[in-house]
Amino acid sequence: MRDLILYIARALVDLPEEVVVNEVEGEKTMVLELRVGKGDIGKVIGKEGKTARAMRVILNAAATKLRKRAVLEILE
Amino acid sequence: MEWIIERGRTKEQALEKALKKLGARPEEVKVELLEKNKGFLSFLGDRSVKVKVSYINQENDIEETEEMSNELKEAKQVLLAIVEKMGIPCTVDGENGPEGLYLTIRSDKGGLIIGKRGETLDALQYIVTKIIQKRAKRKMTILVDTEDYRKRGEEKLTDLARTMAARVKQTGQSVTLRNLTTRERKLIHTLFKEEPEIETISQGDGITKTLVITLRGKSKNEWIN
Repeated sequence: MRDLILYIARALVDLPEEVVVNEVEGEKTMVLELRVGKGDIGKVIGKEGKTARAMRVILNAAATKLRKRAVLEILE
Repeated sequence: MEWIIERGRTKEQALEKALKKLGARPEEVKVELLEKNKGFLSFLGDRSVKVKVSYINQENDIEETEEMSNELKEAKQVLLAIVEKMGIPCTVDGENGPEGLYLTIRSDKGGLIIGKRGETLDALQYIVTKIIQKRAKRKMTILVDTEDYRKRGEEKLTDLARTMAARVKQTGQSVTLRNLTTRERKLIHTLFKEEPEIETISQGDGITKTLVITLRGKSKNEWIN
């Protein structure tokens, strides 16, 4: 899960080396905290939040396979 | 590729005529001699030469194809990486199509890749497009499909739009369709472009944009607001 978000986020931003993803795993849910470099937050959120939504949809599909819920939090 | 066949008394004359018609310069074209009429009629002045003149874009063509196939390769790699990181083993096929790059995912987890009403497939397509556009530094269309989901979806949407149009014709009342993608709206617009009685209008902005199917020429004030 962490790898998935890390891969997508790194490919979208201008400063890939500053992308950090923390995974906090619970029994039924997992929380992924995505941190990006200065000025890159717009790149991972996108117009009207479209990019963020697409990442959440992909993440949830992957989590479904593990019978879990996943939450993506985007932090600067 | 654009080309033209032209006749002339001599090869040069035929070429000149062809260049005029094409509006091309001599260095932009390739000339092929098709036939030389040297038969017994030649003494009657029917000596003609037929040439085929076509544009040469060969260098550009090759460059473009190379660029395209590089982008195709990258797009395939990116999509494969994402789906595999989702924990779904798969392969990705790709080809250059008239609209852009076409990528097809093959796996035994089709339902998971498609998602609810295709939302996962749309998300994958959106993300891959973003990534490749960023790398290529230009806009382009990338279509991601699996198990012919998009093809089947287009057929369903065409059916739906036709049914709605029939209802509009019958009742005179407009029908509004929500939650369509840009492509889906475009498909419906194209479908009714030539239709004399039906008009389709995109209304609103961004993610809340809707498509209205209405009688052509119906007062615009009726559907705005």
